[in-house]
Amino acid sequence: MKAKSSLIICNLAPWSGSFAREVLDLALAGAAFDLPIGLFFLDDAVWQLVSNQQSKAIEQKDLCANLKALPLFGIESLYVSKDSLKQRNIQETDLIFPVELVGDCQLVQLFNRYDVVINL
Amino acid sequence: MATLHLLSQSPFMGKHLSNCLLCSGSCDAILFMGDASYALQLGTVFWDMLCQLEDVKLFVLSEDLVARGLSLHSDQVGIIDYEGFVDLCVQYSKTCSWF
Repeated sequence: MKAKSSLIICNLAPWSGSFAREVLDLALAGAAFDLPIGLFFLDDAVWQLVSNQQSKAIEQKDLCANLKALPLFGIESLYVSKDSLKQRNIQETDLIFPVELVGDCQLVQLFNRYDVVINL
Repeated sequence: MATLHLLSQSPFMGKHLSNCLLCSGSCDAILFMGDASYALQLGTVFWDMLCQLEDVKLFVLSEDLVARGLSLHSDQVGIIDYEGFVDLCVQYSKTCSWF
């Protein structure tokens, strides 16, 4: 039986509670079972990918280091909302790794690529 | 009777910033903490609005700027630490927390 692919959507900022870390844990848990996983960063979640963040300033663990390790765990499908970046004046070059940019008109197609969508 | 407004919600997530601005009079101050510091990002509609304010003082907690990798491009916003936060609370006759 073919493993179902999952698209996990994050839409909250990195330091608003433990949400960002929980989504990451979920993605890694799926990858550990060889499930095909995609991660889609929408709205304030795009702030998670901005470089130069120094989490020590607020006594938190470095989320970016964990995010950068995603491809090592087999999660290479990383999508970011083009519109969310634009609203926040964040350039693609400001991000910690290369991502696939998704425009609003491509969202339905993105969802159709996956068997399951998880929106925490 | 000046008020110190405390914001911690990301401006992209709700109406706290816009409500706060409706309620801010001259001589008031606004302190951006936590995710509210995203409002100070250059090139966003929020910063475009904030940099037009003439009679409301703006402050941000330095640790929140640094944690988020944000940089300010203006002298208009005072960067303070927690001691500065306490000083502000003492200085203003009222605080209004938009949590």
